[in-house]
Amino acid sequence: MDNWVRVAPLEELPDGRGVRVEALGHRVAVFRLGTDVFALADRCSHAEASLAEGDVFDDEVECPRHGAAFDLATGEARTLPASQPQQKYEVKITGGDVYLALQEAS
Amino acid sequence: MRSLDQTTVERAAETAPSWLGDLRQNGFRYFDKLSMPTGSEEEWRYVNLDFELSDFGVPDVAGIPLVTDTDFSELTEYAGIARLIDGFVVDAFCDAPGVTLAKLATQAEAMDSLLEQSVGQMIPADVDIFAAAHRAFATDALVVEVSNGAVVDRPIIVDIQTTQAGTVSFPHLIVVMGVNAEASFIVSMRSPDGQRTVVVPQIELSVADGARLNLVSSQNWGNETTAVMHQRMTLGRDSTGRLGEIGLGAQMGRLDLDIDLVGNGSSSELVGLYFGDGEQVFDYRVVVNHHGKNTRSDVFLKGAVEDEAESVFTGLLKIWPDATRTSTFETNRNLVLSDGAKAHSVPNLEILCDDVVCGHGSTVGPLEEEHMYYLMSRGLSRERAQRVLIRGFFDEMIQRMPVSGLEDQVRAAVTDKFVSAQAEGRV
Repeated sequence: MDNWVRVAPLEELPDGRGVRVEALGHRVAVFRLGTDVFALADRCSHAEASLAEGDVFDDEVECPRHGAAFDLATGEARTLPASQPQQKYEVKITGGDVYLALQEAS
Repeated sequence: MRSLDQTTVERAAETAPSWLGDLRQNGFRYFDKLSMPTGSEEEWRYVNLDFELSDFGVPDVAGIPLVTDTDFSELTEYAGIARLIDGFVVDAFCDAPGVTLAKLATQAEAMDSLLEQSVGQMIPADVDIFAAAHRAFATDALVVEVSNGAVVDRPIIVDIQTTQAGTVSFPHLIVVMGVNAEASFIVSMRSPDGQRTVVVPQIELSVADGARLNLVSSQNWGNETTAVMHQRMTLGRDSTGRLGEIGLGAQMGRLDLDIDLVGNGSSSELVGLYFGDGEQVFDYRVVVNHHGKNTRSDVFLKGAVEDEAESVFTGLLKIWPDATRTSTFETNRNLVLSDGAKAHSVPNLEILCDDVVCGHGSTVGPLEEEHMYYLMSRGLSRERAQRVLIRGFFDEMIQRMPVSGLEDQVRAAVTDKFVSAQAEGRV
């Protein structure tokens, strides 16, 4: 069952950049683009670099280590060297606060 | 504001202890005699200074601290924090045992002997007009003494700010490391964009026998600040000094760094990075003097320039006649990312002793096409490949910094400079 975990108020998240969130055994990279928020697994599927430290270009994040790009909305790997998608997390914004859907890690 | 003249020196001398008054008078004599570098001097040949120091005034009081998006308490667990605003020590505390903090302006009486022994000892007033002005007009100084055998396990943060337009300020940090003491420092320097200021910081590091000092200083001045910094470190027997130098912001940022390996078996390491954009100038001059036997040093700086920016690295490794079994190396690597940008690299060796191992290497050039080709053959676009190479280039330096805490900030600043230039087609 998913737990909705509160991350932070929307306006406290930096716009156009990622932040790393650790909760319930998950490490999640959370990106805010204006009023939209996206969340992907933080460890790059290619070589485990932190995507929260990557740069955001339009609708994708670029891994800081090797330049693999992922679709922020779907987690799809858009360029090599990554070939596997990133796990994507559901996000909701309620009352100005950002929540992540996380399953209790076993 | 007070002007840079005899009256200011005399007025300051009225309230100061006599030794300090004498230092100031002496500094003023040189200030009066020396003139601004014109560019014809070898040491200043790449720098264009189109102002007089006397166009600026010394602040009377510390200004309002800058609003900051980096809260130092989040950077790292620290043992102490000091704030030097417009040359005044406004705030200084450290809860680690064995650390004494002394403020020149307010504790001259109480801490007289520590201050007298440490202020004005290492950087001569006659090096240039800036050092002379510093000696004559510096309003305050912070002395951090780490007593013999004390080990401070978390860094001490020194936050240096210049906040008032039209001023020249003289922040002064002195670190005195006792025998076998160990401590780390993060020195952050900044000023707001769009305000014309001059700042002449001095950092003096005295490292006694067997002591270990780590210090990272980051120059992040505003785009209309001219910064001329003097830094000097002397090392006693079997001691170690590791320095990190980061140059990101300033209209003109200059670092004059002298490292003196005096004691036998002492060692020093310097890692540095600078990244210039717009019309920034970074001028780094590093002199390493090997006096003691069995001393070792390593200097490794990397820089990049884009737009019309210019960088200078001048390094001198000097091995004095008695310094047998010295081992030393200096490396400087530069990336020139735009046609209008320039990087100068001048590594020198002066060896007055045989039985030494010395080396130097320097490169200046664009991103390597072969590396680009490799990355692009793996499916990366040209822009993406450039970004990967830039990050990798600086990451080596960021990871080697002797004190951790600034990594994320520096990584972000470096990437931002390049990404914005790329987005506007400037590189």
